[in-house]
Amino acid sequence: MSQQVEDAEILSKFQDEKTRNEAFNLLLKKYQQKIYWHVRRMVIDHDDADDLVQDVFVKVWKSLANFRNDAQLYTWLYRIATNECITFLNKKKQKNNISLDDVSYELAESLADSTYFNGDRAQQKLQEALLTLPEKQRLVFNMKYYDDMKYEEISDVLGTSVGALKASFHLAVKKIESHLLAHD
Amino acid sequence: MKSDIDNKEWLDDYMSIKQVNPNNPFTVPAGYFDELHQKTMSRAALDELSANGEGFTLPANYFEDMQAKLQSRINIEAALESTTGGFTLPANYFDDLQNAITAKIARPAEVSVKRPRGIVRQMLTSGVFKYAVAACFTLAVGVTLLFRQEESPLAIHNRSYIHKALSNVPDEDIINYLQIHMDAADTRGVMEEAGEINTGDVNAEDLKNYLSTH
Repeated sequence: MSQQVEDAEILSKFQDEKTRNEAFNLLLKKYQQKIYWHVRRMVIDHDDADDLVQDVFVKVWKSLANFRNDAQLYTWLYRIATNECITFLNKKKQKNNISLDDVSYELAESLADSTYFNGDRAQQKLQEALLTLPEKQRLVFNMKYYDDMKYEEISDVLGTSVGALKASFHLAVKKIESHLLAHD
Repeated sequence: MKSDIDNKEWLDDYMSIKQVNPNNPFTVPAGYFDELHQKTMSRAALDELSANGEGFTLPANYFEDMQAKLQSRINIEAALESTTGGFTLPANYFDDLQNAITAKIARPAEVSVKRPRGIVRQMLTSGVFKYAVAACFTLAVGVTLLFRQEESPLAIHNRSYIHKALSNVPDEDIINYLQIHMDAADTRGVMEEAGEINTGDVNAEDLKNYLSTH
């Protein structure tokens, strides 16, 4: 409940020209890390994630005045970040004229070469398994596994029905388990 | 985004996933999130500045007037272009021209070989032209000489001063003069020159007879 109050306070301050910067400061402090990790898990590379997170918050700065309270602020932020990630990955595919499998391969290479990954062998295998999934399934799994989000919240972010999300998640988990067992 | 206890129950069915450490394996550079905060605030501030047109203002109705100005410029450009008579040049013509001139200055002999012969005809150096000039000159000289030779003594005499002077003297006076002043020596000279004397309708034979008897 306190989160709702804080979001309401941020939104209220943002409507006032004098306190707009203060409101945005509060919003960044509260959500920048959550958004960063959401983006990072999708694009793997830190520098790509850094660029995308800044783009996300610049869009938030431009659009927050028009935000309506019929959605929760954090699901709205997640939706913007998710769209940025999908756009980025699609551009990567088009730019290199490569298939989804090749993008997964590139991301797996990026993971292996990354300075900023200190997971153990099992965690690395889990990430490699995740990179074999379609983007939508990867998004659902990440939000469920790492962010502990409910299907209803994920539904708000992705604009997909809860039933479809459950099916997506089930498929994702089965594939990951198969991958982990095969590469044990 | 409250943690839902039930959210993790699904892991019981997937032991291989449950065994993986659920903590975030990714890391960031030290102090990254403080820096990110500052960077994002700066980006937002810059974005706001650019959205406000960077503080520049425009004269009233600038964009409405711009269309008319542009149309005028286009018309002027079109008019100026038409003064060239519609001629166009090959691409990079003037660049190539400069190179060609430079090459000619540097190597005149070589350039003269490359000159397009099909366009410039040098008639003065042609053998045919020389022969034609010589033939014309010869013809002109020949015609002049021919006319001079063909001209009769009578025509020459008719143009002489003495003929013009004696034409005004009556024939009777001339005859009287000759009867008084001529002697035998003069008769032979007159006979030699008889061909040049304008005797009009008088027969030359009759005139010789006349002179020999007088």
